[in-house]
Amino acid sequence: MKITASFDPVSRIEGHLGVEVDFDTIDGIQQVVNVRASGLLFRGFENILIGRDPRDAPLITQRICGVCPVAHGMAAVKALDAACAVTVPANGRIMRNLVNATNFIESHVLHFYLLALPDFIAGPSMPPWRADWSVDRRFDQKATEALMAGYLKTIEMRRKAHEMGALFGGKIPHPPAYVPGGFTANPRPERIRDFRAYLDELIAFIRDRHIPDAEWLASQYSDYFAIGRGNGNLLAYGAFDLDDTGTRRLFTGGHVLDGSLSPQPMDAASITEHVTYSWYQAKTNGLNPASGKTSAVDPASKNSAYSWLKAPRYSGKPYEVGPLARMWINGDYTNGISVMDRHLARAREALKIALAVHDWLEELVPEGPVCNPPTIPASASSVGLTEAPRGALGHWLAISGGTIANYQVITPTTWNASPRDNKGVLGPLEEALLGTPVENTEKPVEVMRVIHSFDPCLDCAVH
Amino acid sequence: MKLTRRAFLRHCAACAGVIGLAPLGLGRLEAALTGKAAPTVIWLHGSGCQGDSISFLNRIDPAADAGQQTADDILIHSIDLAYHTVLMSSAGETAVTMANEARAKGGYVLALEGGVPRAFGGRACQVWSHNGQGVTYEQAVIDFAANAQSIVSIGTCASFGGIPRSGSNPTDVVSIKEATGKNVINIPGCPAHPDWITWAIVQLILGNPVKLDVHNRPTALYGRNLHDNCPRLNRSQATSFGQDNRCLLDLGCRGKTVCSDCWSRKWNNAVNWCVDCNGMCIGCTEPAFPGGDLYL
Repeated sequence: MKITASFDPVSRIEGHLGVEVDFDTIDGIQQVVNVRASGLLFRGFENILIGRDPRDAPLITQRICGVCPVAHGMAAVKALDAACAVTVPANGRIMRNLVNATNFIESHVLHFYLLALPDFIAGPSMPPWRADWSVDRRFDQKATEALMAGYLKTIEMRRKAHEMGALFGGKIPHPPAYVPGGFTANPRPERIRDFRAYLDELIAFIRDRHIPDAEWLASQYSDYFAIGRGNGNLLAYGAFDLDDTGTRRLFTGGHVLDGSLSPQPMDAASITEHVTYSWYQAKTNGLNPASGKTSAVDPASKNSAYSWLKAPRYSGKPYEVGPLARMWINGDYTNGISVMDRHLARAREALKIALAVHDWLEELVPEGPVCNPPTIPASASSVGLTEAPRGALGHWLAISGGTIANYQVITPTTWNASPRDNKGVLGPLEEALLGTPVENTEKPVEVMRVIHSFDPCLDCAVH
Repeated sequence: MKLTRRAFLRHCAACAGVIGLAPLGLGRLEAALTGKAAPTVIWLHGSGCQGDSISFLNRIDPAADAGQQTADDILIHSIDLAYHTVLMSSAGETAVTMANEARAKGGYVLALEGGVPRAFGGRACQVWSHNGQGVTYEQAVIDFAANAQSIVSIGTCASFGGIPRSGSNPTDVVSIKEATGKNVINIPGCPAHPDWITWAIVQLILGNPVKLDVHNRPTALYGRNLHDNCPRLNRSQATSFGQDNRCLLDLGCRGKTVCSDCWSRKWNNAVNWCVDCNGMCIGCTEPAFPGGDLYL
């Protein structure tokens, strides 16, 4: 018998997400047979930016998201660098990378322990963990306590990752140090020393605890290597420039279809955003973000739509973005595409980035400049493509009369949690939920496990 | 390792953030809480970025690190965080029921993060669904404010509207005070400093009178001008970014019009603050934030 149920809010994510799910029994297995994922907060950042000084974009767009602000600062300064045709000095490039990397590390450890793990183990019997869905628990009490100890340690480690980023960035969330042409802070020796001390502690935590705990989880829930695959299409823009031209990067961009092991180059011109099922004007359907528009409509006037997210598509197809996509396209992780593969790829990526940070500290040039002051052109259009912790992030900028004429943002969760597109094709997260076996339709913890494996960030996704 | 509630919360800033009480005296706090039911805190998210929740997780009491008895040792026994969507285990109706049960009991501290969008009948922000019906943040704020013992607006969006209210204000955002018409304590900042959030919640639990300025901000936290107290006051002017120890006024620093204690408290366990990374103050604690162009 088909059952329809709504789960709103989806907790332990960033932002406002609700899912409406149809359950049915097929071949004796009760499972998800249909799903609609809805982003439920619209603020209109893109329209708020119009008419402002282009230099404001890094400071304003960071406020899209309290969890991954730094990546927005990075995307915005990259768009501005391109518009101003300015070359960032080596120290500026490295300082940007260092602070951005701390946000990746913070976000990845926070996600595994605080956001994802409570789907698998029972927390203490107290608020806000009290009302808990105790379904399909496989760890015994001793194991649960060991994992909860990791949860506790993570509260300290993620705080330290923020302190590490603030050493150069000023404060986190929302560091003020990202400016077009470079960075505001100089790499002072005592701060480099402190940064390195934090880094060593975080590397040890990721290597000795986060990765082993993720592998332990995967061993106890190995059936989740076959759950939550989705369409298998993976996309990355690439990030962390390793030279002043951006030719070499820690993560290169690319895309694959259906789990292919042969990544193809990606081209931002192939991106369009659909709004057939989103609360925006129909005439803005199918635009490339370079000429994109955000024209909200009253949800009551568009009942066929169900989300404030647009539906981005690459060559017309939905793509998953995130740590697994980056690690896959760069050949670092190709075990599979599933709930557990996402967790393992994320943990291993945290270590890859942290080890790279170690090398970057050595590359800072004593007394070298951090910023080449740019001149804002009267008119320009440009794009800043990078990666946020949750996946590919792009800011598209148009300047006219020296002010922002148009600004469009597509974030990782816009890709992952998108609604259906103009052909009715489901978004990646929706697709991944189809077929998920569910024991108790009133407490579908399995649905939450699939959703959390994407680490959704809804305030980013709609902005 | 035996995980008691106390041991757990001792490490958990999200609950134990209700700390930082040294000047108030632990004895008084203990007396205030002894024999009473746990004060309930309900934390809802509206039109914001949840940066204040993340900032709150950065709270650390140095005394706790040194193994000393702190106010949070006492308070962590006593706070019932009934609803916080980023942290809680449950989802959907299970979670909403927790919030509604607390509301029915009344007498809670209502912590609100994010402004209140009123466009589209409030549907620019749906906070949850109940009995299959979407509930707007606007409606939830009004309903939960009615039974609250006190209300704290956390962050600039809740306090004044913040960035979502700026420019064309696409979703017709108003502050918590405007949406509810009630007395509130505003703890602005983008994000709010974790110490400020903690301080406010503690005052409310203690029932202390809190002196507020014309913008409903506690004068104890927002009473002194940033520029006048800036360590870089009277330094030579910076002409571009990347110059250490210069005054940033000519680049656009808003310190002259800002009242916050960032200059002494600093950020992220006091490792740094905006001005000391040569990034100017953009006035994120002020009602006018973000206002016009940020750079000169």
